[in-house]
Amino acid sequence: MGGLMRWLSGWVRIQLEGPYPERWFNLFAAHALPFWDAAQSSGTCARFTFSRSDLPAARRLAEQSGAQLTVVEQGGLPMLLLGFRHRWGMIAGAALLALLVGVLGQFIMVVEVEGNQTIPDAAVVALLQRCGFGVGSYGPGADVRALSNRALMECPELAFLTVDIRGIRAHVVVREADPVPEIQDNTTPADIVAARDGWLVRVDQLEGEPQFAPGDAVVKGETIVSHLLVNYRKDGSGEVVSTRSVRARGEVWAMTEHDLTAALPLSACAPGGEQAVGWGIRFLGHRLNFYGNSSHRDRECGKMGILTAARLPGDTVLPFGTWQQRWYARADQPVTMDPEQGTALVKQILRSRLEDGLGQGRILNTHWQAEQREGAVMVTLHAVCLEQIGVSVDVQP
Amino acid sequence: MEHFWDRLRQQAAQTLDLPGDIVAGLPRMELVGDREFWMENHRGILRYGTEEIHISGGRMAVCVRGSNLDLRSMNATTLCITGRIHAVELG
Repeated sequence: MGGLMRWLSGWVRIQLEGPYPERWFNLFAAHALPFWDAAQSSGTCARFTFSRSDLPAARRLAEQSGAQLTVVEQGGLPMLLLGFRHRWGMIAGAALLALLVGVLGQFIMVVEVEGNQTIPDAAVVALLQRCGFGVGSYGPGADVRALSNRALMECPELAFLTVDIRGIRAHVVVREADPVPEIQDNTTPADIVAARDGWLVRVDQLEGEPQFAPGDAVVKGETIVSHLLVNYRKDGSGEVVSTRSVRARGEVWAMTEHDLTAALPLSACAPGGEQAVGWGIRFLGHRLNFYGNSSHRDRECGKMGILTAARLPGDTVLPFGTWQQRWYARADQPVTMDPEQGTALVKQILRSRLEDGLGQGRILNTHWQAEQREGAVMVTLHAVCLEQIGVSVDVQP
Repeated sequence: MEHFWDRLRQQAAQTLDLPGDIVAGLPRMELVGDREFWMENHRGILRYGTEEIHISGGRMAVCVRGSNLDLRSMNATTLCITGRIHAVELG
């Protein structure tokens, strides 16, 4: 510890020459000048190490005793700092760095979101930005309570939101509101009707009177499960005793046929090649362009901007990065496509479209037909599917 | 005259069974193992070297012999010598 304190305050090693070197020990001790690492190299010469601040007093005592004082060596933190006194660029850089750290440390650089389950982080960040808080905001000036209230009013899916600002990080803790349960209407009478033509495979009615049996064919709009429950007399006369309206519930599975057709032109016109590239930087939400006035290019060309943000090792996005602006010629250039590639692309699109429309159903059989006509490839899909076709339709009173 | 008062203080300390270093200002020495030598009420360094250090104790001189001797700290009344101490002699 003593060594560290000596290094921090700086030390100086001196050599004294004169008769009777021992008297300097007593002289310095009597004047309460602490020294260490004393060595008597000869009969008239001794070396001492002093704290840098004690050097003037030691020099004065040496003069009074008629000794010749020579500084042999100096060291410690003050000497280290003095070594940089002519490096103005380094000093200016260090001062600028300290200033930047001091100033930028007051602004929000990272927004972290915690506690969300269904709402994405980006949605919460965007919500806060709409409320005037985000990357680049002045941290000490943020009114967290007002911000929280406003954000909760704008987003009813959130039940709780608070922002904890720690230096450059804003830690946002949210709790999502419990979803409002869907109110099921069990009072209004409803039929289950066929959403499309098909052959019934299974009718699972939970409520209501089925009008068709598996194996029957139905057309779109026909009532499969009726809302009307009829009680007949038990003697077999067929006389209606009473009727009751219910809301029919259940699932109707049927085999259906689908015909989908799509065409893709094999030649098209795409925007022209890249004309120019401009660079800029983005910092705390502000952009500084280095490509000057680009209004004439904006009128003549299409443009696209690419932001590349700096990231920390933990994939944390920093609020600065490079901005690249690319301009493309508006004049279209012809582009051709291989027919096989075009066919495969259209098949993929049609199959995807069919699967999206089936829900929990599945495709049982497919038949493809492709032909080239008038510079386009035309693909037709004929598919047999198993799907749920029953939809609930309220009965008008 | 000064010698007389020193003798008197020393006699009084012996008679009254009082600590001599306090009453008579006699030097008080302490040896910690063979590595550290402390001395209070010294009167200054008489001779200094890495093998031998002579210290004035008023009416006596103290010689510390050893190797790699170093005067670690010193003020007007107390000093500390470190190193490998072989002998402490009173003269």
